[in-house]
Amino acid sequence: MNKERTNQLSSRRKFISMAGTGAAAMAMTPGFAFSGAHQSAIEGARDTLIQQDPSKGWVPVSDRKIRVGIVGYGHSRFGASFGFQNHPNVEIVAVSDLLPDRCAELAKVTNCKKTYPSLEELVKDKSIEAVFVATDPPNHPKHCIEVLKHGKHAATAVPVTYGSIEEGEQLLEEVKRSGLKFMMFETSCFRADLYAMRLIYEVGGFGKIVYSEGEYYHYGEKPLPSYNGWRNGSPPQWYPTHSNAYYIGVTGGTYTEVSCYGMKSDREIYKPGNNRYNNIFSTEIALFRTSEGGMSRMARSGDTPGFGAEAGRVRGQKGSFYGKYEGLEKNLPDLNRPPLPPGVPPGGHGGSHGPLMNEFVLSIIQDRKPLVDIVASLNMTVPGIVAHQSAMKDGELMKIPQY
Amino acid sequence: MNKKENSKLSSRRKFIGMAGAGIATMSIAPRIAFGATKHDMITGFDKVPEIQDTPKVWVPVSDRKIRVGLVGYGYSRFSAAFGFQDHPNVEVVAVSDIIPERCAALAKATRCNKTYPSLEELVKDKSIEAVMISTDPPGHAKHCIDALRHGKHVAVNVPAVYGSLEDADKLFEEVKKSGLKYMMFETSCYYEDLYAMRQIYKAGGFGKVVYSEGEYWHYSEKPLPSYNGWREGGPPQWYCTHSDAYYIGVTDGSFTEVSCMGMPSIKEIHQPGKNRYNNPFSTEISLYRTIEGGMSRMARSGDTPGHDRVVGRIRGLKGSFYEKYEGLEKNLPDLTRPPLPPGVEAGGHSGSHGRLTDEFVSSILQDRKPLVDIATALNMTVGGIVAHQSALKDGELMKIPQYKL
Repeated sequence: MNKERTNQLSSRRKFISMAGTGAAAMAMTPGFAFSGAHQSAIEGARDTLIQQDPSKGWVPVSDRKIRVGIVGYGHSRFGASFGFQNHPNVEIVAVSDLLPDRCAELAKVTNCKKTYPSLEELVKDKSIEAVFVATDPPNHPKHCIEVLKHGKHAATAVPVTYGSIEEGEQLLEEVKRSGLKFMMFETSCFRADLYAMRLIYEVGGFGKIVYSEGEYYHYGEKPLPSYNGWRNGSPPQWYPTHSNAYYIGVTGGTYTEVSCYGMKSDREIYKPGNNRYNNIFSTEIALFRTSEGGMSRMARSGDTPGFGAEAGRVRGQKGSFYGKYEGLEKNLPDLNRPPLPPGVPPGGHGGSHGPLMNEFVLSIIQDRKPLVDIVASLNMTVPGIVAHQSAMKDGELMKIPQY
Repeated sequence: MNKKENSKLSSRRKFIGMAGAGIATMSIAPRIAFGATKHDMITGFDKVPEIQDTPKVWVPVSDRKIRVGLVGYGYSRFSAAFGFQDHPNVEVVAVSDIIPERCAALAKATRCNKTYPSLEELVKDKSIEAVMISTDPPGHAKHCIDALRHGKHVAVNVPAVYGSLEDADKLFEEVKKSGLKYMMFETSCYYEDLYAMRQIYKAGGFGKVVYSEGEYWHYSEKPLPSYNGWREGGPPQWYCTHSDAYYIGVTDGSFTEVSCMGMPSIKEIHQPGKNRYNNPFSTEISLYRTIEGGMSRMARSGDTPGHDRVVGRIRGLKGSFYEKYEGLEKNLPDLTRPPLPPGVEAGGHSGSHGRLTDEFVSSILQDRKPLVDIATALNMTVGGIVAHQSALKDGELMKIPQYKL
């Protein structure tokens, strides 16, 4: 594992011979405790940096600075939390939030002087090359399309589209037409465990994935604050990317079919007429058929207290990963996440924020496909929309559009 | 928890006030660590060391000795593994296995002098009151019916029936008609975690169970030995009780509907024409609708190496259990498993064997329903049979028969 890297991208695919028995199991150290003092006992609900120094091995690829605009500083404060302002290849040109106080604060924390009152105004700024869209999910497709139409690369927080397959497909067309970079910042994709699974999958250490499972359990007695209340009473599987990444993000595959069940929630916001989505479920469990012919169980729950988690596991024909690999493949590649530029913090969601932002920036500088491109984004997001339709029809098997 | 018990049964249902903050979390020590993938053991079959894991003391309910017959000493050697021969209220009258050497070994292991060449002969022995059936699963239903018809109480290893809904109905009718005790020895029901979940559920600490999941992962390159090769290419969900217990055994509820998917296996035995079941699957994943309106994911896999185990979890409207409880209920009942009679080992499958035996024996002595009775046994078993039908139809939603006494 002390292999010197000249090209961080190609080296990930190379096998690194590991001596001794039992070396096929690479442990991820536990970290990140959810739900108060008690660590979740479900395996896979653990991740932290395995790198002592997240910058170890970082080699600058350019001295160019991408001129970035950032939009959105809501409840999650995502506009500033991915570290664009700390990246040596980024200059924050302008920021925006519809609420003036938030806009001013975002400018302050990103050390940026220029602000715009809206995304629509910001994208007119010809000096901006790329925009990070951290607005409310129902507006993600519209906002991303607006950015792309103004000739700017776009990165967006999850999900890529919110309950609308049509808007997702409009965005797909715009990305293809524009030829610009598009990336969805699905945090699970750069968690230590999922990232390792992806590398093992790529070198054949799992064979085909027979079964995978992911879950996003997040109990709250009341909905979190949200712009125009988009979170109030929302269908659980419309926010499926944290969990679905544990198959789609590992394999680059797709879901072809789904049977999903929901259970009527006893919470006030899910009673008939109490939410704009006519949604009665706060827990939805989806069973997907995968493009490899395997199965995937993806779960969302907001009304079951205890053991909150964003986690997942895979079982393949040649091995399984539950926090670590066990299986038939004895030579595993280097499973570390790519190094970060000095000064960029790994950040939230299991240290995924910094790596996501860095991946987007590098995809522009190196003119290559980013890890979570428009196709992967839609294949992670759209199945949840169909899953909710299935749940409304009491589990009816339904086909899923393929991208 | 040092509460003195007059009746171990009623005390389980009583709340025990526990002082201090944060005590809503009762930790259950991790059960079994499965290591490397290459072991020939049946997953979960490990014995636990003789730790007295409950502070409770076994109180005899009678000095009567039930006269028991034991049948079947195959690969798993279950007839001697459940400790009937060590129970103070049991006399092992006779044993049987159709293979003479095994029959002799079983007699020796249980210190029994009388043997019969078959179950059919053994059940004719009028001195026997109860029979423990550890034969091959395809024979379970027929053997249990035979024992019941000869007026004997019956305990049987899992599953209650093997792949036949018709057998399930026949067995159900026979148990009802006989008025005798019937118990399926589903080991998961006496795992520390599942037993605790059951107590919490009964005390309302979960509310309705919204989502539950259980899994029995057991990779092997080749099938384990089995009588007449019943294991070779067997449909994964026909052996579903270890996983399904993580809902049915917690709530005594049932599954009403299923969509199940399988993936054609790369293993030789699952290729077309290679097994008697015409079964292409070694992994099947079920999504069930529960009688409470919730969901359950029950999984079986035999062709995915790594991380073998039998385990489960539940999430309810008031709390969840992942090896321990987290939730809104601050006063939890006594979660520890029942005590064992002196001399009876906790035994295999994580200390469930001895307790299953004691429960069966006690149900006869006290003339009460055993923990895993015929309705619960069938509700744990038939879901998997329908699930396999669903998998063969690529996940089609199917209704599941319901059993209620």
